[in-house]
Amino acid sequence: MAQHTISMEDISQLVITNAGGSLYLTGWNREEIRVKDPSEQDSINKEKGKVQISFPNDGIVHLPHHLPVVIESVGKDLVIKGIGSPLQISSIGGDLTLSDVSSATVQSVGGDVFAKRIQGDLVIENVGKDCLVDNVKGQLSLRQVGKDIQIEKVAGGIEALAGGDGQINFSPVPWQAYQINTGGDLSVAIPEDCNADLSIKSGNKDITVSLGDIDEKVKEGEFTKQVGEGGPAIMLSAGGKVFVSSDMYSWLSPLRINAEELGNIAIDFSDQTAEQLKDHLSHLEEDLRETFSNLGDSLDSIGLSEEKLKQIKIQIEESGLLTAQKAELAAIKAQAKIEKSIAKAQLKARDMKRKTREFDLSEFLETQLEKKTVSDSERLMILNMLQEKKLSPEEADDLLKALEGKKDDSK
Amino acid sequence: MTANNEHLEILEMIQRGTISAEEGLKLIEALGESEADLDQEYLLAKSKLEGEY
Repeated sequence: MAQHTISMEDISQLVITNAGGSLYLTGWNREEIRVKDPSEQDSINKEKGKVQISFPNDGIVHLPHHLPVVIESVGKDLVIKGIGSPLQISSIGGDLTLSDVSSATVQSVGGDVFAKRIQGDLVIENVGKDCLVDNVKGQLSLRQVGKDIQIEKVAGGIEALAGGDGQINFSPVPWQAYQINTGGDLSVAIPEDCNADLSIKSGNKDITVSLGDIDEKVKEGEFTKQVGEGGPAIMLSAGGKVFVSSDMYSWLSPLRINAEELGNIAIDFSDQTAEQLKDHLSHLEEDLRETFSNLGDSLDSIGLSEEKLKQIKIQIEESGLLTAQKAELAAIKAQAKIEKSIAKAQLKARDMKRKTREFDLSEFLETQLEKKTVSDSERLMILNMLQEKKLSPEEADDLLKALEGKKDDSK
Repeated sequence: MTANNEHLEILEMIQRGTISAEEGLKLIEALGESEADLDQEYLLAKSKLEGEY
């Protein structure tokens, strides 16, 4: 693995022109850029205050937190952590993972997006699959998402358009606007004591608003409602049903899975795993250094020429470094994979929480009652046939048992 | 007489014309409910016993 260190003299921007595989970018406190390329075919150019890097396959870059970054093309996944300056990203073939970054503008992501702790605005033009966003301090714009969206804790306004379902949780503020469109169902949780003007459209003509004193279930395509004293416009539109509620369903607590709790456990788990990996890695490096230095000492006693000995020592050092760097890449990839699995698990847990919140007891009881009525009329039909001697008592008994079986199946 | 025999007895009564199909249905339902009551009583007794020991 090739490793280069670039000093920050006269450097005002980092440009990654291409990464054929996956790219891992991490901010650090040092005033230098460190580039690692497992394929050893990276190209680095420095001109007019810019550093331009291209990787034929995977790449790892550590850079100062404050350095603005432009990423033009990534073939697979892109993972970015701890960058305090604006990010501009053009095209990603796989998934995008962003955490603890200042702000980001993204043109196109082929896979999923996982974004958490964004200190400023997050603008994404196009996402092929799901989009999971948690904790954005600025504005959020998801202009076109192919599948589901899940948004938690956005301090600024929200503009989102998704082909699948949507689950959004936010606190509306007076100076912001909220416009959310989904092709499937849309579930929104806002505080029941907030002020807002709700404007809702549902393709399925199924709108439920359950917020404090407001408890409306509307079988219409459109619905408007002032919440509290009115205020910021919240425009919701879904191809399926729309469900708006407060997140205060504590009486359902024995039933629901606490997504937040799961998320915290998951973050702890991820951090612990990362620490363990780092720990293993530093031990591995120490072991390697020790082994190779012992090997170098024993070579001294063999009696090779000084020049040959020097060459062998350099080769040993390089191979030690290569092994450690490969282990580091594996560790970074493993951590990114764990974080993606956690984000997916959170997505599922929140979906279950949403389903629990939307569970309609009265509708369920009505359906059960309907089933019983159907079952009673079917049983009476069998008994009438028995009375008319079209069936023997044994045949009627078998039929009634079969009907009971059907009823049990439907439970 | 077991619950199954009682069930069959009701069906035979319907066929013989002793009772109507509607009356038979009510009897079958009552039989089902009393079975459920017995189950409930059994479970209650069992849980009490388990609680004592």
